[in-house]
Parts: sequence; structure tokens; C-alpha cells
Amino acid sequence: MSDIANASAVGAVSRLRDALVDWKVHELPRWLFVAKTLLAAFLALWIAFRLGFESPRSAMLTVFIVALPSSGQALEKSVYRMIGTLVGCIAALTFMGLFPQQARLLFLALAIWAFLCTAGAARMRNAKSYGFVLAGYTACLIALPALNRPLDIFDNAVARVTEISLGILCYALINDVLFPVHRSNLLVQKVRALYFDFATMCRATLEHQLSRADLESRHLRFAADVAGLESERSAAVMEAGEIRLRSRRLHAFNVATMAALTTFHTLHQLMERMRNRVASPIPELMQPLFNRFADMMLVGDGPARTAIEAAITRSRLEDLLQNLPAMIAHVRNAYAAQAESQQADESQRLDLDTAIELFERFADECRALVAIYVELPNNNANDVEAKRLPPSYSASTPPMLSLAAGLRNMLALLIIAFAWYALNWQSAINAVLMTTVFCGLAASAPAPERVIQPIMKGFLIAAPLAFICAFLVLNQSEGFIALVLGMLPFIAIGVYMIAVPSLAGVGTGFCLMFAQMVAPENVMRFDVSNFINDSMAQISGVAIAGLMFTIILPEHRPGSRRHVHAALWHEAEMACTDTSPHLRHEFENRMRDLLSQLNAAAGGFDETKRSIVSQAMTLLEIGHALIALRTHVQYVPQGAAMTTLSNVIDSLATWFREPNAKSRYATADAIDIAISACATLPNAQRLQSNLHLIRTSLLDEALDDDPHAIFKEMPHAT
Amino acid sequence: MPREVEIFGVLVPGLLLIGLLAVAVQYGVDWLCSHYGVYRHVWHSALFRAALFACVWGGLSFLLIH
Repeated sequence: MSDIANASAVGAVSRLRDALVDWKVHELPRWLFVAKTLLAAFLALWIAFRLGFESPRSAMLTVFIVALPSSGQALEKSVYRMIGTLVGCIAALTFMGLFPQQARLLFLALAIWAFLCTAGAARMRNAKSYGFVLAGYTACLIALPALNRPLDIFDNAVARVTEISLGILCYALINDVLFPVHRSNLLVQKVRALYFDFATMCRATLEHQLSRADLESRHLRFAADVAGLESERSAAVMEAGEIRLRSRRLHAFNVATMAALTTFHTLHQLMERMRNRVASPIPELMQPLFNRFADMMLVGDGPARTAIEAAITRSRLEDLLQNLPAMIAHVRNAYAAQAESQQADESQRLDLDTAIELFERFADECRALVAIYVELPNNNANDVEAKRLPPSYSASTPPMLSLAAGLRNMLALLIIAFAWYALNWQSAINAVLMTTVFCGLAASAPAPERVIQPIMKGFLIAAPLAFICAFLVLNQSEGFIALVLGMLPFIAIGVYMIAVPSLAGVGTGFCLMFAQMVAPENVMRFDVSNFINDSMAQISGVAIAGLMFTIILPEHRPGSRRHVHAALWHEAEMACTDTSPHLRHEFENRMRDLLSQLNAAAGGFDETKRSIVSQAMTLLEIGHALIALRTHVQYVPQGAAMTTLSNVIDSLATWFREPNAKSRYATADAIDIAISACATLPNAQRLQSNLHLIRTSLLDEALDDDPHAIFKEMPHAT
Repeated sequence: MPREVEIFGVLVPGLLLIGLLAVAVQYGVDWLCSHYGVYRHVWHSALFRAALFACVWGGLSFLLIH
């Protein structure tokens, strides 16, 4: 009997312990975040009250807006919020100076400003885009209320900047000083995961365990991972500590990963094509090399998980690279022996040369990658610092899409501002502001409705609660402490929702609406009709923003397949003509960026997406070979060979501009002519292997169909 | 430096201007600290940074405003 009681008591204790541990891991950080945010919010409010600011709620609102879990992210957002506010203020003062008391002209000027800012925001898609949104919105926020009282505008602007900076300072201080959550640890995990995935994929592919579709979906994921790592890096730089020392090395790591991925993909595609073609002996000859390489990547039973394990990989890779020339000579001899017995084929010899060159390059890039990975935690390594790095990865949306976003915001602003003017409904100014804010904020999201819907929910939940708080609780309170106690339970709910990833949007909407509507001020005003008017206007403002996304150019959103596809071909064309010294990295960055936009867009990995990715990967191969070819072409003397080579580049550009079967085969013919024409040149081998690579990629099955036919079959596939 | 400075007809508090200067100084000191690994020997680097900024701003104000 006592045994059973004991056992159940032990069970209860262990269950309790599990529950506690679970609470500590999942809930404690959230409640800490809630406590910190509330503390910062009320601190900002208190200072604003003490100094007698005009609208203390802006300071509190700012805290809710920059409240992000990690201090790096919050600081980054704060910096861009500050810059955006200052720029917006200057714009508002300028417009007011140009068109005082001219509502129509002022609306037009603000609409054009909103167009520029939103287009910029949609183009960036990172923390900078928030600065652009703020610049557009702040101009409206300051200029519109001063429409009939132009002399007030300067005070409005000063008040706005003061309150925003107060909120930012309070949050930055509290968030950074009390239990800071640093992004750096997460970054370390991401780097490890990226290397681990890369090595796993290389091994699986070298040992033929992946299908083409599988490989393409992995490449799409890598594009997203690299983009994610880059944005984490830009946030982590804001934090104190060693992460800033490693920032350059992290950048180098990203660059090296992308380079190795592309070379590896090209090599793999070449091998696949040879395997599918009848009886090419080369894949079999190369296989021992691949097996050695795949084995080398193992540390224990999997690839290296940490930088310390990567040091083992590095030393083994160095060994392998020393033996590589001998191994390659062995492969060549074996091929020569086989070629004697069968009829030797010129194109086969080129295949072998190209494959060996690619493998050498891949091994070299792997060595660079592993070396950077090993050095990452090491604080005294200056090897990367000394080198000049290529420009860092920057996100950019295709220009048509960002222009569409700007246009949408401009039209929305014009429609609703003139409606405000004509209706003579005082509160509608809130609707104008909300529409501008959310048209801008959602512009860089691949699915704007997924940004706006949660905010809308938050607004709808907050409106009745704000009513209860303002007219049933706060009207009985007196003094700051009572005010805080009255608002605390409501705001705590909202901030807790911000901390839960799936409810973050609802929480932000809730806090924005609540702080806006309760409007704590030194002399509280309790005006029910004003409250109802304002809340209706705010909610309808968000609803109109959502409506604008479905009405005005609904297909033009970041990650729209048709636009990404067109941009991919355009980038390939740029690879033929651009003369930037870092062309190779820029091309790589832009292609990967487009892929990551495609990955972020709505919809699963279906047939259309698959064919876009597969075309993109083929274009990436061609582009890289083309860029390599262009660097070698520089050393070719003028003459017949040079003419054939520039013919190849020209006809490739034509084909990228207007992809069709005719120009494709014309290009292939031009390459054939060039291959035989440059046989006598001093750098013939490099020229020929790049030309050969372009030729095999050009005839890849991924490009077999008319590239634009993907969309003709499915009119709704965008 | 006077308490308020006139810039294009706008009176700007001197403390604000010194604050901007302090941000610039802080940026440099911060870079030096992270470059020479000072933050590795500090228990709470964020608090240290905040305190450092307060010292820089306070010190500059003390020296410049009479």
C-alpha cells in the first residue's frame, strides 16, 4: 500500500519537475520579455509625463514597436526607426513649407513621397526597409494634422522625434541591461547547421542518394539559409562583444558556402548528363575520387558538427589535396588506356578536362570554406581581415515589384486622403495614417495578407478592451501608479502575444491599438464619441490597406513567380555584359537572393516552382562558366579566335534576352565553332572547358521547353 | 558652450549636441573595446556599454558646459 503511494508520489514529483523544466525553457523567457517590455514602456511613459510631453503615448507605442526578443534585432530596428523618423520629419517640413494650406497639393506631394518610400521598402526586404516605411509614414503623421494650422508643424515634428527617441532609449537600456538575450548564440547554431547540411548534401550526392527534385528543393533551402544568416549577422553586429570581430569572417563563410555550392552543383550536373548520355566512361573513372572526397568529409559517423571537429576535416582535406595531382594523373591514364581501345572522341576528352577542373575548383573552395569555419571561433585570426572581401549579400526585389508596391501605397493614400477631405470626418485622419503604415509595412512581405490579418485581429480585440480600460477602470484611478496598475493587465496580454511567434502579429496590433486608444495623458480626456470615431477609423484604415493589396496589382508581390523568373533571365543577361570587378559574387548573390524570394513566397514546392528552380540552377552554371570565360577572353589576342569567342558571348546575350529554340541552337553552334577555333591559343584548355561547360548546360533538359511556357499553361500559377 | 545653441533660428539644447558628439566618441571607444577583446573580461557587456556611454556623455557635458 505504502509502496503504491510512494510510487505515485514519486511520479507526481517527477511530473512536477518535468512541468517546471518545461516552463523554464518555454515560458520563462516569454515572461521575462513581458516584464522587460512593460518596465520599459512605463518608464518611457513616466519620463514623458514628468517632462510634460505632448503625447506620452507615442513614447510608449515606440517601446511596443521595437520590442523584439533579441537585443541585436531591437537595436537594429531602433536605429532604422530613428533614421526614418528624422528623414520623415525633414520631408514633412519641406512639403509644408512648399504648400502651406494647400490640401490637394500637399496630398499629392505626400503621395509621391509615400510612393518613393514604399518602393524603397519593398526593394530592401530587411531592417532597412523599416526605415523607409517610417520615413513615408512620419511625413504624413506630422504634415496631415497640421493641415489647417501650419505654424504648429515644427512643434509637432520636435515632439514626435523627442517621443520616439525617448521610447527607443528606454527600451534599448532595459532590454540590453536586464537579462539580455543575445543573437550571437543562435548565429553559432545556424553556422553549424549550414555547414552540416552542406556537407551532408555533398556526401549524399557524391554517393548518388539524392534525386534531382530533392536536390533542387535543398538548393532552394540553402538560398533561404544563406539569406537568413546574412540578416542575422546584420542584427548581431549591433550587440556588444566578440560577434563584431567575427562579422567579416561570417561574411566570408557565407561567400565561400555559396561559391562551393555552385561549383558542386555544376560538377554534379555535368556528371548526371554524362551518365544519362550513352556509355560515357568518365563518371565511372571519377567515382573513386568522389568516394575519397565523401569519406574525407566524415568525422566519426557524420560531417563535422563544430569548428573543433572541422579542424579534423581540414587536416584530412589538406592531405587529400596533396594527393590530388597523383589521383588525377591516375584517372587520366586510365582514360587514355580506355580511349586507345575504343574510338577516342573529342567531346569526351573535353568532358574529362572540364570534370577534373571543376573537381579541383570544388576541392579548393571546400578547403577555403572549412578553413574559415575552423577559424570562426578564433579571435586572433587576421587572415580574412587582411583580404578584401566582395560586397556583402544584399536583398533586392525586382524593380517592377517594388514600383508596384509604391504605386499601390500612393493610390491608397490619395484615395483615402481625398475621402477624408471630402467627408469632413475628423477622425478619418487615423485611417489615412494606418493605411499608409500598413501598405508600407506589408509591401516587402511575400504574402501581405499574412501580415495584415493578424494586425486586424489584434485591433479588433483591443478596441473593446481599450474601451473597458479607459471608461471603466482608468476614470476611477488617480495618479501614475493607479494608471499603471489599470493598464498593466491588458498590456501584459498583448506583450505576451508578441513573445509567442504564432501570435506576434496579433500582439503587435493589440498593443498599438490599445496604447493609441487609451491615450494616457497628463490631463486625461474621456470622450466616448471621440473614442468610437477614432477606433472605427483606425480599424477601417487597416482594412483598407488589406483591400488595396487585393485590388491594386494583386499579383505584384515579392516572390511572384513570373517576376522572379524574368529577373533570373535578366541576371543571366547581365552576366554577359556587366563589367563590375566582383561580377562573380554579385551574380551569385543576386541569383541566390531571387531563389530565396521564391522560397519565401506562398505555395508549396510544386511543378512550376520546381521548373523555375531547375532553370535557375542551370542559368547559374552557365553564368559562372560565362563569367570565367569572359575573364580568360581578356588575354586572347585579336584575331579569328577572338571573333568567334565574342560571337558566343553575343549570341548567349541574345538568347537570354529572348529565349527560344532557334537562338539556343545558334548559340550551341557558335560554341562549337569557338571550341575548334581556340585550340591553338595558349590558354586553350581553360577556354575550351568553360565553353564546353556552357554548351552542355545550354542543352540541359531543364531548358528544353520554351522557358516562358511554364506560365502559359497555368495562368494562375503566379 | 552655452546651454542652448542657435542653429538656423532654432534653439537646440547644448546637451543634445554633446549627446551626438558622445555617440560618435562611444562608437570609436566601442570599436576599440571589441577589437582588443575588452568585452571578454567584462561580466555584463551590455551594462558596461550603457554605463560607458553615460560616463562619456556626462564627462563631455561636465567639461564643455559651464
